[in-house]
Amino acid sequence: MSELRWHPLVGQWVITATERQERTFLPPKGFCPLCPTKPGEFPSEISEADYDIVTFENKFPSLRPNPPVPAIAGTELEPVDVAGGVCEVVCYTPDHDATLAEQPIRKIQHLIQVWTDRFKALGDRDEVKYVFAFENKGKEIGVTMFHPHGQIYAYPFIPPIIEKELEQTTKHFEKTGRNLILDIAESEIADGRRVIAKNDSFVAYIPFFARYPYEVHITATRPGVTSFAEFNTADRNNLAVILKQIVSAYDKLWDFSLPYIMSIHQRPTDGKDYTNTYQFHIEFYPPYRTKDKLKYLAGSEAGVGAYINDTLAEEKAVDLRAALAKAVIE
Amino acid sequence: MPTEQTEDTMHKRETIMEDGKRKLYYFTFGDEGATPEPADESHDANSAKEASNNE
Repeated sequence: MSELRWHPLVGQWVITATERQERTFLPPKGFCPLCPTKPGEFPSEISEADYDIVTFENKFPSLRPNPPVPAIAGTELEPVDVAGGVCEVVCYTPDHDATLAEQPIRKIQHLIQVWTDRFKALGDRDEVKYVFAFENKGKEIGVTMFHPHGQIYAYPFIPPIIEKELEQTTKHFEKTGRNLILDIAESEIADGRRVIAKNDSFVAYIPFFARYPYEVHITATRPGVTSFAEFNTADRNNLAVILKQIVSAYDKLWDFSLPYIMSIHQRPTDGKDYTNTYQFHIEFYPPYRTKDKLKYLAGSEAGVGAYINDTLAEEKAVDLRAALAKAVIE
Repeated sequence: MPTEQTEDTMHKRETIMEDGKRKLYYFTFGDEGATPEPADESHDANSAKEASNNE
Protein backbone atom coordinates (compact mmCIF):
# COMPACT_ATOMS: atom_id res chain seq x y z
CA MET A 1 0.00 0.00 0.00
CA SER A 2 1.26 3.42 -0.88
CA GLU A 3 -0.27 6.86 -0.72
CA LEU A 4 0.30 10.43 0.35
CA ARG A 5 -1.30 11.37 3.67
CA TRP A 6 -1.58 15.06 4.56
CA HIS A 7 -0.17 16.17 7.94
CA PRO A 8 -2.37 19.20 8.64
CA LEU A 9 -0.42 20.35 11.68
CA VAL A 10 2.84 20.99 9.81
CA GLY A 11 1.29 21.32 6.35
CA GLN A 12 3.19 18.63 4.52
CA TRP A 13 2.70 15.26 2.83
CA VAL A 14 3.79 12.01 4.47
CA ILE A 15 4.46 9.13 2.07
CA THR A 16 3.30 5.70 3.21
CA ALA A 17 5.00 2.79 1.43
CA THR A 18 4.36 -0.42 3.35
CA GLU A 19 6.11 -2.70 0.84
CA ARG A 20 9.42 -1.11 1.76
CA GLN A 21 9.33 -3.08 5.03
CA GLU A 22 10.30 -6.08 2.86
CA ARG A 23 13.25 -4.42 1.11
CA THR A 24 16.69 -6.01 0.93
CA PHE A 25 18.63 -5.42 4.15
CA LEU A 26 22.43 -5.55 4.26
CA PRO A 27 22.92 -8.51 1.88
CA PRO A 28 26.28 -10.33 1.96
CA LYS A 29 28.75 -9.45 -0.77
CA GLY A 30 27.94 -12.41 -3.03
CA PHE A 31 24.24 -11.53 -3.01
CA CYS A 32 24.35 -7.80 -3.58
CA PRO A 33 21.54 -6.66 -5.93
CA LEU A 34 23.63 -3.70 -7.09
CA CYS A 35 26.63 -5.71 -8.30
CA PRO A 36 26.74 -6.79 -11.96
CA THR A 37 25.50 -10.34 -12.61
CA LYS A 38 28.49 -12.60 -13.20
CA PRO A 39 27.90 -15.78 -15.28
CA GLY A 40 26.67 -18.62 -13.05
CA GLU A 41 26.38 -16.39 -9.99
CA PHE A 42 23.57 -14.68 -8.08
CA PRO A 43 21.31 -12.74 -10.49
CA SER A 44 21.37 -9.16 -9.28
CA GLU A 45 19.16 -6.26 -10.38
CA ILE A 46 21.72 -5.56 -13.13
CA SER A 47 21.70 -8.39 -15.65
CA GLU A 48 24.95 -7.58 -17.46
CA ALA A 49 28.37 -8.75 -16.31
CA ASP A 50 29.85 -5.25 -16.06
CA TYR A 51 28.85 -1.60 -16.19
CA ASP A 52 30.18 1.94 -15.84
CA ILE A 53 27.20 3.64 -14.18
CA VAL A 54 23.66 2.28 -13.99
CA THR A 55 20.36 3.79 -12.90
CA PHE A 56 17.14 1.84 -12.46
CA GLU A 57 13.72 2.13 -10.89
CA ASN A 58 13.77 1.04 -7.26
CA LYS A 59 12.20 -2.38 -6.58
CA PHE A 60 10.72 -0.99 -3.35
CA PRO A 61 9.72 2.55 -4.34
CA SER A 62 8.09 5.20 -2.19
CA LEU A 63 6.74 6.86 -5.36
CA ARG A 64 5.64 5.08 -8.54
CA PRO A 65 5.07 6.06 -12.18
CA ASN A 66 1.73 4.21 -12.07
CA PRO A 67 0.69 4.61 -8.45
CA PRO A 68 -2.11 2.56 -6.90
CA VAL A 69 -5.35 4.18 -5.82
CA PRO A 70 -4.98 5.02 -2.10
CA ALA A 71 -6.21 2.11 0.01
CA ILE A 72 -7.79 4.44 2.52
CA ALA A 73 -10.15 7.39 2.04
CA GLY A 74 -8.99 10.81 3.15
CA THR A 75 -11.07 13.47 4.82
CA GLU A 76 -11.31 17.22 4.42
CA LEU A 77 -9.06 17.52 7.48
CA GLU A 78 -6.62 14.82 6.42
CA PRO A 79 -6.72 14.32 2.64
CA VAL A 80 -4.90 11.55 0.81
CA ASP A 81 -3.47 11.51 -2.70
CA VAL A 82 -1.77 9.02 -5.01
CA ALA A 83 1.97 8.55 -4.46
CA GLY A 84 2.97 9.26 -8.07
CA GLY A 85 6.54 9.90 -9.11
CA VAL A 86 9.71 7.89 -9.61
CA CYS A 87 12.37 6.45 -7.30
CA GLU A 88 15.64 5.47 -8.96
CA VAL A 89 18.84 3.88 -7.73
CA VAL A 90 22.17 5.16 -9.10
CA CYS A 91 25.03 2.64 -8.98
CA TYR A 92 28.30 4.58 -9.14
CA THR A 93 30.58 1.65 -9.92
CA PRO A 94 30.46 -2.16 -10.25
CA ASP A 95 33.05 -2.38 -7.43
CA HIS A 96 31.09 -3.47 -4.35
CA ASP A 97 33.71 -2.29 -1.87
CA ALA A 98 34.42 1.15 -3.34
CA THR A 99 33.21 4.57 -2.19
CA LEU A 100 32.53 7.84 -3.97
CA ALA A 101 35.69 9.27 -2.40
CA GLU A 102 37.77 6.54 -4.03
CA GLN A 103 36.52 7.31 -7.54
CA PRO A 104 38.83 9.28 -9.85
CA ILE A 105 37.75 12.80 -10.80
CA ARG A 106 36.93 11.60 -14.33
CA LYS A 107 34.51 9.03 -12.92
CA ILE A 108 32.82 11.67 -10.75
CA GLN A 109 32.44 13.82 -13.89
CA HIS A 110 30.61 10.87 -15.47
CA LEU A 111 28.34 10.62 -12.44
CA ILE A 112 27.50 14.32 -12.78
CA GLN A 113 26.60 13.73 -16.43
CA VAL A 114 24.27 10.93 -15.31
CA TRP A 115 22.69 13.08 -12.58
CA THR A 116 22.11 15.75 -15.24
CA ASP A 117 20.41 13.28 -17.56
CA ARG A 118 18.12 12.04 -14.79
CA PHE A 119 17.28 15.58 -13.61
CA LYS A 120 16.18 16.51 -17.12
CA ALA A 121 14.34 13.27 -17.90
CA LEU A 122 12.50 13.01 -14.60
CA GLY A 123 11.87 16.74 -14.33
CA ASP A 124 10.17 16.66 -17.74
CA ARG A 125 7.48 14.30 -16.42
CA ASP A 126 4.17 16.11 -15.92
CA GLU A 127 3.58 14.78 -12.41
CA VAL A 128 7.07 15.57 -11.15
CA LYS A 129 7.55 18.86 -9.32
CA TYR A 130 10.91 18.18 -7.72
CA VAL A 131 13.89 15.93 -8.51
CA PHE A 132 16.07 15.10 -5.52
CA ALA A 133 19.39 13.28 -5.90
CA PHE A 134 21.03 12.12 -2.70
CA GLU A 135 23.36 9.57 -1.14
CA ASN A 136 22.97 7.89 2.22
CA LYS A 137 26.39 6.52 3.15
CA GLY A 138 27.16 4.27 6.10
CA LYS A 139 25.27 2.08 8.52
CA GLU A 140 25.01 5.00 10.94
CA ILE A 141 22.81 6.72 8.36
CA GLY A 142 20.68 3.61 7.93
CA VAL A 143 21.79 2.32 4.54
CA THR A 144 20.42 -1.10 3.66
CA MET A 145 23.06 -1.87 1.01
CA PHE A 146 26.76 -1.06 1.23
CA HIS A 147 27.42 -1.11 -2.53
CA PRO A 148 28.33 2.49 -3.50
CA HIS A 149 25.15 4.07 -4.75
CA GLY A 150 22.89 7.07 -4.53
CA GLN A 151 19.20 7.56 -5.08
CA ILE A 152 16.93 9.93 -6.97
CA TYR A 153 13.40 10.70 -5.83
CA ALA A 154 11.14 12.52 -8.30
CA TYR A 155 8.36 13.93 -6.14
CA PRO A 156 4.85 15.06 -7.15
CA PHE A 157 5.25 18.00 -4.76
CA ILE A 158 7.97 20.40 -3.63
CA PRO A 159 9.47 18.87 -0.44
CA PRO A 160 9.13 20.93 2.77
CA ILE A 161 12.76 21.98 3.21
CA ILE A 162 13.01 23.17 -0.39
CA GLU A 163 9.68 24.96 0.03
CA LYS A 164 11.05 26.69 3.14
CA GLU A 165 14.26 27.64 1.31
CA LEU A 166 12.20 29.13 -1.53
CA GLU A 167 10.10 31.09 0.94
CA GLN A 168 13.27 32.57 2.44
CA THR A 169 15.02 33.23 -0.88
CA THR A 170 11.92 34.87 -2.30
CA LYS A 171 11.61 37.18 0.73
CA HIS A 172 15.29 38.08 0.40
CA PHE A 173 14.95 38.80 -3.31
CA GLU A 174 11.89 40.98 -2.75
CA LYS A 175 13.72 42.91 -0.02
CA THR A 176 17.16 43.28 -1.62
CA GLY A 177 16.88 42.27 -5.27
CA ARG A 178 19.60 39.71 -4.61
CA ASN A 179 19.93 35.92 -4.53
CA LEU A 180 20.12 34.72 -0.90
CA ILE A 181 22.09 31.55 -1.63
CA LEU A 182 24.68 33.48 -3.63
CA ASP A 183 24.82 36.13 -0.91
CA ILE A 184 25.59 33.42 1.68
CA ALA A 185 28.32 31.94 -0.54
CA GLU A 186 29.85 35.37 -1.21
CA SER A 187 29.76 36.16 2.50
CA GLU A 188 31.58 32.92 3.26
CA ILE A 189 34.22 33.64 0.61
CA ALA A 190 34.73 37.17 1.95
CA ASP A 191 35.09 35.93 5.52
CA GLY A 192 37.19 32.91 4.59
CA ARG A 193 37.33 31.25 8.01
CA ARG A 194 34.86 28.50 7.15
CA VAL A 195 35.89 27.91 3.51
CA ILE A 196 37.26 24.43 2.81
CA ALA A 197 37.87 24.63 -0.96
CA LYS A 198 37.10 26.86 -3.91
CA ASN A 199 37.41 26.83 -7.68
CA ASP A 200 36.07 28.81 -10.66
CA SER A 201 32.53 27.40 -10.35
CA PHE A 202 32.01 26.35 -6.71
CA VAL A 203 32.88 27.12 -3.13
CA ALA A 204 32.73 24.56 -0.28
CA TYR A 205 32.34 25.72 3.30
CA ILE A 206 30.97 24.84 6.70
CA PRO A 207 28.18 27.42 6.91
CA PHE A 208 28.09 30.02 9.68
CA PHE A 209 24.78 28.44 10.75
CA ALA A 210 25.92 24.78 10.55
CA ARG A 211 23.61 22.35 12.35
CA TYR A 212 26.07 19.43 12.24
CA PRO A 213 29.76 19.75 13.30
CA TYR A 214 31.09 18.83 9.87
CA GLU A 215 28.17 20.01 7.72
CA VAL A 216 29.53 21.23 4.38
CA HIS A 217 27.73 23.16 1.66
CA ILE A 218 29.05 23.26 -1.90
CA THR A 219 27.45 26.19 -3.74
CA ALA A 220 27.62 27.10 -7.42
CA THR A 221 29.03 30.62 -7.67
CA ARG A 222 28.03 31.40 -11.27
CA PRO A 223 24.70 33.30 -11.22
CA GLY A 224 21.81 31.51 -12.88
CA VAL A 225 22.96 27.98 -12.05
CA THR A 226 19.85 26.64 -10.32
CA SER A 227 20.19 22.99 -11.35
CA PHE A 228 22.34 20.50 -13.27
CA ALA A 229 20.50 21.67 -16.40
CA GLU A 230 22.37 25.00 -16.34
CA PHE A 231 25.83 23.44 -15.92
CA ASN A 232 28.43 23.87 -18.66
CA THR A 233 31.42 21.56 -19.13
CA ALA A 234 33.60 23.62 -16.80
CA ASP A 235 30.94 23.48 -14.08
CA ARG A 236 30.73 19.69 -14.33
CA ASN A 237 34.49 19.35 -14.16
CA ASN A 238 34.80 21.80 -11.29
CA LEU A 239 32.03 20.12 -9.30
CA ALA A 240 33.78 16.77 -9.76
CA VAL A 241 36.98 18.23 -8.31
CA ILE A 242 35.39 19.91 -5.31
CA LEU A 243 33.17 16.89 -4.57
CA LYS A 244 36.27 14.69 -4.60
CA GLN A 245 37.98 17.17 -2.26
CA ILE A 246 35.17 17.17 0.29
CA VAL A 247 34.47 13.43 0.44
CA SER A 248 38.23 12.75 0.53
CA ALA A 249 38.69 15.26 3.37
CA TYR A 250 35.92 13.49 5.27
CA ASP A 251 37.74 10.18 4.97
CA LYS A 252 41.04 11.74 6.06
CA LEU A 253 39.47 13.43 9.09
CA TRP A 254 39.81 10.37 11.32
CA ASP A 255 41.20 7.88 8.79
CA PHE A 256 37.99 5.95 8.33
CA SER A 257 35.32 6.15 5.66
CA LEU A 258 33.03 8.82 7.11
CA PRO A 259 29.27 8.26 6.79
CA TYR A 260 27.20 11.14 5.50
CA ILE A 261 23.99 12.23 3.85
CA MET A 262 24.69 14.06 0.58
CA SER A 263 21.69 16.19 -0.32
CA ILE A 264 21.66 17.87 -3.75
CA HIS A 265 19.43 20.95 -3.73
CA GLN A 266 18.13 22.17 -7.08
CA ARG A 267 15.23 24.29 -8.23
CA PRO A 268 11.81 22.65 -8.59
CA THR A 269 10.67 21.34 -11.98
CA ASP A 270 7.16 22.78 -11.76
CA GLY A 271 7.46 25.10 -14.74
CA LYS A 272 8.19 28.29 -12.78
CA ASP A 273 11.26 30.49 -13.16
CA TYR A 274 13.65 30.32 -10.20
CA THR A 275 16.62 32.10 -11.79
CA ASN A 276 16.62 34.97 -9.27
CA THR A 277 15.52 33.06 -6.22
CA TYR A 278 17.47 29.82 -6.20
CA GLN A 279 20.99 28.50 -6.68
CA PHE A 280 22.36 24.97 -7.02
CA HIS A 281 24.04 23.70 -3.89
CA ILE A 282 24.90 20.43 -2.18
CA GLU A 283 24.59 19.90 1.56
CA PHE A 284 26.51 17.19 3.46
CA TYR A 285 25.42 16.02 6.90
CA PRO A 286 27.97 13.66 8.50
CA PRO A 287 26.56 12.17 11.72
CA TYR A 288 29.83 12.14 13.69
CA ARG A 289 30.71 14.94 16.13
CA THR A 290 33.99 13.34 17.26
CA LYS A 291 35.94 10.29 16.09
CA ASP A 292 33.78 7.96 18.19
CA LYS A 293 30.65 9.93 19.02
CA LEU A 294 27.54 10.46 16.96
CA LYS A 295 25.34 13.51 16.83
CA TYR A 296 21.75 12.31 17.19
CA LEU A 297 18.71 14.27 16.14
CA ALA A 298 17.08 14.01 19.56
CA GLY A 299 14.44 15.92 21.49
CA SER A 300 15.15 19.48 20.45
CA GLU A 301 15.90 18.65 16.81
CA ALA A 302 13.31 15.91 16.16
CA GLY A 303 10.69 17.26 18.53
CA VAL A 304 10.60 20.94 17.68
CA GLY A 305 13.14 21.40 14.88
CA ALA A 306 15.60 23.46 16.94
CA TYR A 307 19.14 22.29 16.17
CA ILE A 308 21.89 22.40 18.76
CA ASN A 309 25.46 22.25 17.46
CA ASP A 310 28.05 21.45 20.13
CA THR A 311 30.87 22.86 17.99
CA LEU A 312 31.90 26.03 16.20
CA ALA A 313 31.96 26.00 12.40
CA GLU A 314 35.18 28.08 12.38
CA GLU A 315 37.03 25.42 14.41
CA LYS A 316 35.69 22.44 12.47
CA ALA A 317 36.67 24.13 9.19
CA VAL A 318 40.29 24.14 10.42
CA ASP A 319 40.00 20.36 10.99
CA LEU A 320 38.57 19.75 7.54
CA ARG A 321 41.16 21.91 5.75
CA ALA A 322 43.91 19.96 7.53
CA ALA A 323 42.27 16.70 6.46
CA LEU A 324 41.99 17.93 2.87
CA ALA A 325 45.70 18.76 2.88
CA LYS A 326 46.40 15.06 3.50
CA ALA A 327 44.14 13.84 0.68
CA VAL A 328 45.22 12.91 -2.83
CA ILE A 329 42.93 14.58 -5.36
CA GLU A 330 43.18 13.12 -8.84
CA MET B 1 43.15 23.89 -8.56
CA PRO B 2 43.25 23.91 -12.40
CA THR B 3 40.91 21.45 -14.06
CA GLU B 4 40.79 19.94 -17.50
CA GLN B 5 37.78 21.53 -19.23
CA THR B 6 36.82 18.55 -21.36
CA GLU B 7 34.56 15.59 -20.77
CA ASP B 8 33.76 12.23 -22.30
CA THR B 9 30.69 11.73 -24.46
CA MET B 10 27.94 9.95 -22.53
CA HIS B 11 26.01 7.08 -24.09
CA LYS B 12 22.73 5.85 -22.63
CA ARG B 13 20.99 2.54 -23.28
CA GLU B 14 17.51 1.86 -21.91
CA THR B 15 16.45 -1.67 -21.00
CA ILE B 16 13.54 -3.27 -19.19
CA MET B 17 14.41 -5.26 -16.09
CA GLU B 18 13.67 -8.93 -15.44
CA ASP B 19 10.27 -8.16 -13.91
CA GLY B 20 9.18 -6.74 -17.28
CA LYS B 21 8.14 -3.45 -15.71
CA ARG B 22 10.98 -1.36 -14.41
CA LYS B 23 13.39 0.65 -16.56
CA LEU B 24 17.15 0.37 -16.25
CA TYR B 25 19.69 2.61 -18.00
CA TYR B 26 23.28 1.67 -18.75
CA PHE B 27 25.55 4.71 -19.07
CA THR B 28 28.92 4.39 -20.79
CA PHE B 29 31.47 7.06 -21.62
CA GLY B 30 33.85 7.76 -24.46
CA ASP B 31 33.54 7.33 -28.20
CA GLU B 32 32.49 3.68 -28.04
CA GLY B 33 29.05 2.50 -26.91
CA ALA B 34 25.38 2.68 -27.64
CA THR B 35 23.46 5.48 -29.33
CA PRO B 36 24.90 8.71 -27.95
CA GLU B 37 22.72 11.16 -26.11
CA PRO B 38 23.02 14.50 -27.93
CA ALA B 39 24.90 17.11 -25.94
CA ASP B 40 22.38 19.72 -24.86
CA GLU B 41 23.82 22.63 -22.93
CA SER B 42 20.65 24.68 -23.23
CA HIS B 43 18.07 22.14 -22.09
CA ASP B 44 15.78 23.41 -19.40
CA ALA B 45 13.69 20.79 -17.66
CA ASN B 46 11.17 23.51 -16.99
CA SER B 47 10.88 24.69 -20.59
CA ALA B 48 8.15 22.28 -21.68
CA LYS B 49 6.21 22.87 -18.50
CA GLU B 50 6.61 26.65 -18.87
CA ALA B 51 5.23 26.39 -22.39
CA SER B 52 2.37 24.30 -21.08
CA ASN B 53 1.69 26.80 -18.30
CA ASN B 54 1.53 29.60 -20.86
CA GLU B 55 -1.09 27.87 -22.98
